[in-house]
Amino acid sequence: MGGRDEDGPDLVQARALIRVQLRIALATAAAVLAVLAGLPPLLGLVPALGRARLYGVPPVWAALALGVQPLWVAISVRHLRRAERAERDVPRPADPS
Amino acid sequence: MAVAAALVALAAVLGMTAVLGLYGGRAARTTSDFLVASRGVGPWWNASAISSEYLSAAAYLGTAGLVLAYGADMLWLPIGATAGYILLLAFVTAPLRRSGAYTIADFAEWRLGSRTVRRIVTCCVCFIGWFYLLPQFQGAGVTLRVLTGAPVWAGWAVVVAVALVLVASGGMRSITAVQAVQFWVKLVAVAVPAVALLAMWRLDGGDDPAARSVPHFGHATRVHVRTALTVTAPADTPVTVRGTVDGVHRSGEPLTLRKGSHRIGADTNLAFPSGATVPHHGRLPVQKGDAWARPFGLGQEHALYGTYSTLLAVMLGTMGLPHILMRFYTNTSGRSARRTAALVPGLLALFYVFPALYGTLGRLYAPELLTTGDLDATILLLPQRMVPGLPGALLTGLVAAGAFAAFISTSCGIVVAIAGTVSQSVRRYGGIAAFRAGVVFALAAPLAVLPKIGAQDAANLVTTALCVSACSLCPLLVLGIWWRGLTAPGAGAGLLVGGGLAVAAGVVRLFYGPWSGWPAALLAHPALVIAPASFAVMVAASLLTRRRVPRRADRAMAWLHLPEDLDNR
Repeated sequence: MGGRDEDGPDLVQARALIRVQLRIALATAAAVLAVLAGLPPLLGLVPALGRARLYGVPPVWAALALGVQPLWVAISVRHLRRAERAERDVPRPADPS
Repeated sequence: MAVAAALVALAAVLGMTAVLGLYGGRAARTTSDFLVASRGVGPWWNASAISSEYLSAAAYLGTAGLVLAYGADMLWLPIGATAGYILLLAFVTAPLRRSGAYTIADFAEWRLGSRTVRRIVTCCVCFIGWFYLLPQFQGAGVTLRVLTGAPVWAGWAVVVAVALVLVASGGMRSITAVQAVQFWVKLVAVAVPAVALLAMWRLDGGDDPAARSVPHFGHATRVHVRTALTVTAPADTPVTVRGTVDGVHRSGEPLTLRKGSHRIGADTNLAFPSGATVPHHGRLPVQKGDAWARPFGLGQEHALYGTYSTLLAVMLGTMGLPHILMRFYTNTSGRSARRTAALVPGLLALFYVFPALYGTLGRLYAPELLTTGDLDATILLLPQRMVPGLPGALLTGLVAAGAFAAFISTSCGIVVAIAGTVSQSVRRYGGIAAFRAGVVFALAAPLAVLPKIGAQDAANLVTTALCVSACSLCPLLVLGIWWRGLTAPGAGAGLLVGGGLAVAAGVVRLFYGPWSGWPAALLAHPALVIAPASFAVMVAASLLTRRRVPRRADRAMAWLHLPEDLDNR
């Protein structure tokens, strides 16, 4: 932990990165909330889904038990990519781009 | 035979734990080894350990039982849990790892420069850990009781003894190996029987669990009622009774349980013929299959509020779990911590396929659990019910092994988190000795409370722990990492209000009650009210004390967010 207060990094650069990362994080959170808020009405509003059977399994059931988790995996992989790219794009002192 | 299989499984898990623990812990000498395994853990290994730590008694035993009793509403729990890891990935992991602190209390003190906030955080960590340990002990008790008939305290003793030995001997270093391997043990233990049971269901003709009828016994079933309880018969039900029903002693004669409520005495044997409807435990809803398979199928009072509040508690609570957060400190850098967090949803998704399956099959093959209310036993009993003879016993052993792996890995993680946080707070009294004292402290408190709280569903207890975390540590982390204006008084006020109210709700629900109507809904699921309040108090109090923003806040924010190679560390 030592040494962090003596010669800090470029604070302007840091502020820009924080803004970018916050935007990425909020986009990810919005995607999660959209799924969580949108799914119940969707399932509730289509009563035909409650009666239908796919291989003996109600589709609502299958959607909740199996359908959402892959969506989460995709969202987290997308977030990881974007957050790492944002970090890579910070100009390094070594290359003056 | 199932008893033998369960005992062999327990011995195998303990043996594996001992070998891995000794192997991993043989080099643990310094405080850094004990707390963060000297920061040398790679993303895959750490993601397995984190998933293992998170898949506790609640996920392994609890989810299936809740699905069995309440239906589709409970499928939201796994969905919320994985969603919590996405938020953790998005808002917390990389910056928290870059802070370089050992524990979340260290982080709070470093970011806000206040010993007082540190002490409050330490209290929150203790309460979250204790609420989380209770269901692990209870789950171990239930597992041993259901499978071998041992008294419940035998299960408690096993988990406490293992955690004590393992954590005190090697700390984080020995439990990382144990937990990472135990994730895969749990996955196999839950997946292999599930595939076998699914095949049995198809061979059996595949009854529809969502059919428009109340659950009934698929074949003649004997039910042993241990402690007195009230049941609701959804229809007139023929039964043979040896024991007490509605205050009248019976010695094996047939009678009919009229539709309505009945009192069953302690130590009563009930024998139901094939096709009889299942009387439901008084606290469980009677639902036809089609309502059960539908979300918001009116399984509970105030189902909509309860579902969303639980979702919020699980999601935000996952972001603030001290034992999970501590695991990210074991990664080598912020980048590898973030990669670890991104792997976890995939691992959890693999596991969460199965509990819902057990709950669904349980409704067809082990409906007597609805009568006894022993929901946590669903996964443990199904293999014996569906597969007779030796194969059934082997599958039972496998499931039991997974269950013990679940109790042990979660308990160890929590004990390390509490002991680490407490011992860091009293650091001047000496490193490893203080850590070992903290281990005893972490285990003693829940053990003292356990005999007083009676039977509780594992998942409900864990939700209480998650709720405390959602209302205290989650706002602290999110605001501390993303908002430079957070002040020590603001954080302290928010932690006291949010954490205090959530702990109070949990304690009231555990020791008093039962409640009904809105008080019950608010006490069981307070997160939707308290978590926003906690955020609001933190922000408002920080704005009011604006002059107390730490002078080095900007520098601290830069340190948290810039990649390691960019600042001069």
